[in-house]
Amino acid sequence: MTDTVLHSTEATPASSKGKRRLPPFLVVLGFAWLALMVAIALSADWIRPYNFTAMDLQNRLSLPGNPAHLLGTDELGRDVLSRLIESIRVSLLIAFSATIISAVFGTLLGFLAAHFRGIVEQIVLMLADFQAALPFLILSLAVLAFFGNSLMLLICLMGFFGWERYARIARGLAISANAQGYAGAVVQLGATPSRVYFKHILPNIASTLIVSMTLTFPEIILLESSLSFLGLGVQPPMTSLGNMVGYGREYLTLAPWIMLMPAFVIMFTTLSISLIGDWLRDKLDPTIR
Amino acid sequence: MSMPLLSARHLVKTYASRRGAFTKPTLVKAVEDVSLSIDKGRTLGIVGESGSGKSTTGRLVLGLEDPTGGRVTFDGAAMPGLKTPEWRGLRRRMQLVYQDPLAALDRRIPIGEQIEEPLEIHEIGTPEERKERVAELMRAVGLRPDQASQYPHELSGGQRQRVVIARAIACGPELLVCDEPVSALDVSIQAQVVNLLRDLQEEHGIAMIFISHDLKVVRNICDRVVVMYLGRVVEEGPSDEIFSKPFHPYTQALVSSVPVPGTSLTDRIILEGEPPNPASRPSGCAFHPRCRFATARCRTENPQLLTVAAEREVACHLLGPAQVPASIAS
Repeated sequence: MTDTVLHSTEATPASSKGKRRLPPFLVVLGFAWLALMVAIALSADWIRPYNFTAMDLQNRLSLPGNPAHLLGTDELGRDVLSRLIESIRVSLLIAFSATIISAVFGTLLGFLAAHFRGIVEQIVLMLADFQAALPFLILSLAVLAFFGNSLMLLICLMGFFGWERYARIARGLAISANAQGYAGAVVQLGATPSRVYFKHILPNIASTLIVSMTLTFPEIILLESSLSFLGLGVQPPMTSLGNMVGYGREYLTLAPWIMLMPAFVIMFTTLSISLIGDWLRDKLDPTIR
Repeated sequence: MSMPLLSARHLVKTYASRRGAFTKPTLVKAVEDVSLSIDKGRTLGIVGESGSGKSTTGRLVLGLEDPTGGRVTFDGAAMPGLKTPEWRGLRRRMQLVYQDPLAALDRRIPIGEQIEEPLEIHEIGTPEERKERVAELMRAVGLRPDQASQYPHELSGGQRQRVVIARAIACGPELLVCDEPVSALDVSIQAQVVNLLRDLQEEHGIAMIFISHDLKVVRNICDRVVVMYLGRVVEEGPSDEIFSKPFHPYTQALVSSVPVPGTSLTDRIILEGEPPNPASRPSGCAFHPRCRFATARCRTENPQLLTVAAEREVACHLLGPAQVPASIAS
């Protein structure tokens, strides 16, 4: 945690550059935490003290604070810090990619529905209902059971999580904008649909979509954790935050640090994303600036 | 006489409103058999109560909605299909001024860019020329060019409407449809905006269709007036004549409701009841339940729009061609 505090004091002048007011303290902290996570994910290969699969059998289940293993070791004597760093990389990769895939895919489908109405809209809405009605975990289990497992497949699968929310939001807001508001006015000026949707409607509904993204992001991290916990997500020897929590559970009473470290990372990352999303929504709206 | 700039023949617009997926839709006739035409540089007023179909008529003549029946001809050519490339190209020649300027403007884009947008869409001029044109337009509608970087919510209602007007005239349209352009504004601002519209029209020779329920404004600005009631035209004629000598009982009631400074409203005709629901139109003349002169014939037979005097058309059984019964010619 000392890392974060140090980082936040560094990040403050940078993030306030060119702006009159500083973002609230918690948001700065959130940015700092996320920046730290991204930095760790990018430089994982250089900063981890050991290979994440390297075993130190003499130091199994050693306590955190051990000079050789700062955050202790797990049941096979693997360094928890190294595994944590690798897990952050894998989990962030999955969560960011999947959130973006889901937002882009959902928003596009929502716009298609709003633009063509009629049968296209019915199909999109039906798919959205289908997606919403089916427990995603079951769907994921089925897909992973059939198609085996790879990181790429996992990312694409997670990308289908939550798209129906973006589709519904985008569709609803686009229809209302087309019917009476600014979008209708721009159509009336002779604008092509792509101009109407991407230059006018998208920036206007971006705040809602961003908030939705900040809700999906933690859910994807948790979903990936659940899948990994069930042994269907990231496969050993690869590791992810959920994977670490899952396998660390067995040693909860004996060596709680194995599970607690990744759990804290999940918690702080999702919290940071929520705080930033909330702040961004206000920031992106010129009417309440 | 040359061909009118825009003519609409027997326009019908029917909306289907459905209560549930499996119920039979109820048909609402918003506009029924409306014909009108407008010459270059002239102003046509459309007046009527809320729900009389005047806004729908405005949207139909602009081609913003496909009519259920009838057709619109602009400059000798039929209106192209909705949202085709030809339709988009035609937008630079005809524009709409909205009732609610705040809703019509994108609140995330500075007004200067929004005024520039039609120029960009229709690829008029280079970026530098466009910037100049925006400054010119802003001056023309009475905005300071340095306000270009402001957002719609930072402006007053009157200024926003000026932005909408500037955007509408940016491409030099030949036809401007103003859909209640001043009804959302303060009375003191209304006069400014109306004068602005009239000045712009005189300067550029734009034909204008002015939709309003405010008779004072219509009288002030329009050459001809069409009075609508429940989706039908009940009276049409030159503005001065309609206001000084209304023929149709409905127009008489409307005109009598306009206060004249210095006189008390003694002979005001108060219409009883609400305008009927367009979904359940009364039989015969739609106005008969509220008409002071309704006869048995009015309840069963729909009156046709007939020429009763020079350039004046009225749809009323009490008014035969070229004669006005003394009983209602007040």
